[in-house]
Amino acid sequence: MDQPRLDPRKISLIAILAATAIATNYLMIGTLNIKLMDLIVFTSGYLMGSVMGAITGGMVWLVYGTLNPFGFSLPVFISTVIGEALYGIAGGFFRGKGAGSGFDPWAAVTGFLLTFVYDLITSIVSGVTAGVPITMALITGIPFMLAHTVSNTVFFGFGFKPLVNSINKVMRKDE
Amino acid sequence: MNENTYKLISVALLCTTIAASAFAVYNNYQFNELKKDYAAVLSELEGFTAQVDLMIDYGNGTVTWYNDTRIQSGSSVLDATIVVCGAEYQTSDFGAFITSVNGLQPDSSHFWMWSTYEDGWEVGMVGADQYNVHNGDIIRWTYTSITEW
Repeated sequence: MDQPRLDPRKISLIAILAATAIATNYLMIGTLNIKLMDLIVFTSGYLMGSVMGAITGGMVWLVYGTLNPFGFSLPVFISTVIGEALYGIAGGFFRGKGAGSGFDPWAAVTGFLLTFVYDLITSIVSGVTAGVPITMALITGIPFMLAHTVSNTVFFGFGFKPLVNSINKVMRKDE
Repeated sequence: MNENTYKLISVALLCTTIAASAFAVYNNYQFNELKKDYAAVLSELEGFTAQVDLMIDYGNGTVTWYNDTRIQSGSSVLDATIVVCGAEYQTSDFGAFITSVNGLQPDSSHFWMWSTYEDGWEVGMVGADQYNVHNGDIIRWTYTSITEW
């Protein structure tokens, strides 16, 4: 039986999006918890499906989580890989909802909820790893969580459709 | 409005509720932390401060209380008064002579007199700069007429 061949354009798109996400992470290293990575991973899931989106998210954290100026911790690393993959998976489920241009309120609220779940997971794991009570870890992490969720709400709301349209335009040119 | 709009509004409200709750929880946590810090600072302060009640009787029926005022241990009545409401004085061989309390300067027929409370008011037997206040002291300044005295 013929195995479905992986589209090389998809593979290159994953590589480009992952590289872009990693590059923007390092560029925005000074703005803690405000990153374009989540939007890029979500968009990759939207364009190529949940599995590819999850792979993109995992790949980004494989690099950024290992070569991280804030240090490396295996449990936190695993939680961020899983958390980031959620953006890609959710992007796949979002397919067919993001047509058109301009502000996308659904993308905005999805970005908010995904980020909330992501922060919940990573805060709990970070707290357990550091030996801090979970409640304390969650409460002290709230300012960072708010910065992350609010920025992602804005990025997803305003950035999702233009990003999808731009990538689609480039991909169509190559056909 | 169609169903989709209602769904969107519901989810958006859920998001704002989550954000507001998180903000409220954090503020509450900060408030409790500050309250704990404040209690700790107060207990530390108790070791080297005295808490006094200061009363200013302006002689015209107006009386002002400065209760539970913390001042440095070893402060005199004069120091405490200066810190609490402001006072001016002149020094002489007999000690400090108060020329105004809280901005009120006595005329030629009045003067400021201080007293402490312990089973009744007792007039200060020394100058206000000579008596060191202690924790729990109740001090009164009275705008007194020379004729009454």
